[in-house]
Amino acid sequence: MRREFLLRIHRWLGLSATLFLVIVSITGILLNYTEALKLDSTYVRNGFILKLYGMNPANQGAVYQSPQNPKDTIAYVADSLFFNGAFIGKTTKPIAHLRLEDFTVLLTENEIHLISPENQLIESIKASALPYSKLKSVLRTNENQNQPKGTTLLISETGAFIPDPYWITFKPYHFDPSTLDSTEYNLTLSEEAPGYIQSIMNDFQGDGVPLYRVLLDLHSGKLFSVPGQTLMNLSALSILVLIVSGLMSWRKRKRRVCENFERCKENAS
Amino acid sequence: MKPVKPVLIFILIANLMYALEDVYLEPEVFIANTFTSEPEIKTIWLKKDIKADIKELTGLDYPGLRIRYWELGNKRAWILEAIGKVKLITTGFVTQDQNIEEMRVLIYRETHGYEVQYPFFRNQFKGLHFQSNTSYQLNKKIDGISGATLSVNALTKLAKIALYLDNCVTHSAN
Repeated sequence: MRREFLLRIHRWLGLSATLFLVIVSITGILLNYTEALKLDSTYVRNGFILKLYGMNPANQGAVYQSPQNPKDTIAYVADSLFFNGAFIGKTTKPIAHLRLEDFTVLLTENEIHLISPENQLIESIKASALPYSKLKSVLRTNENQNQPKGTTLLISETGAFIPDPYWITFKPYHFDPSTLDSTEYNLTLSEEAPGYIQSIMNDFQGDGVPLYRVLLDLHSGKLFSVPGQTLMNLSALSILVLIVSGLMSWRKRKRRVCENFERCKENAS
Repeated sequence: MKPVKPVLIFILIANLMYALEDVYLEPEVFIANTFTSEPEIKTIWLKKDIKADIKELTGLDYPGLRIRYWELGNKRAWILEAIGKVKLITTGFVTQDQNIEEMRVLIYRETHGYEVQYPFFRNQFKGLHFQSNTSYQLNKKIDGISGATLSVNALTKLAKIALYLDNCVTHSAN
């Protein structure tokens, strides 16, 4: 292998792995002094870091009010849904809320959450069990020739559907919107959003993520999931390649110096 | 600007690895593949005693108060979820005559332990049943996978829940 080629590999690998090796070195030294630096009792609440741990910052979210019962508050912070302060699950944007006789129904774009009167989750009906992909609005009939009063209609991009009384199955329903006398149950945005979201997130996320955890995950690359881990693995492998390419180019250089020295000696004699 | 090239290659390789999707089988496809004709969708309510039994059996506080299942004849399909290490694993079980006929990992969200989707692991669940209706001990041990211990534990617990619920449904029907 030519020495110029070896040096090029050495230079490129060295430069591209520099940043990652610096991170590994610094975080490694810091982690060795976890107790002295109180890394496990220091918490990070930075929005970017929280997001990496699936704990979304409180500045992205909305609070909705139910048109049926203004006391019911629905908060949607990034991907998490909260009903009256209780965490329901990771889901899509909430669309409507219905308080029925036996339970409450929270409808998001592609999921339905049934909640007991005690605010306990009964069931989350996932997108795979629903006949539509995106819900647009929820109506309840007032007076209609075909359906009795109080029939719930789920209006989606692909048509309308009626749930059975227990919300297990959904039947397609064809109707003429101009003749339908109904009330819409879609959620409306509330104005008390920032303070409410902040209090929910404080309850939900606690103090944040320990600095020790962040540094450890940065050290291993896990902070950035599989890509981060792969980058750290590649950086570690690059050290081995750097050692080999460094030694090989050093040997070639030494041999060339010796050859030049021998030639000089011959010329002199 | 030559060093930019290897850095980009580094990042590209890393992202290609990340792009490996974790939806192994869509839940609706699992249901369609399980039954020869349209199954009936039913639900079982997780009353206090059932919740307590599940807790005792698996140590899990299974979320929700109602679980849906699909039934055709005496064959039932269950889609259950449990956390492996930090994320949910969505799993499909087919039960018949209080035996597990099939286990499929439908959606896997963890970064490690994806080996649980492979047939060499899944096949261990075939024919799994409780030794008796009162002891709720499985008839055989599920062998673990190195590096996927938590996922294996979660799936074993879900298998117990599927068998227990199947047992409840069978007894309530009788």
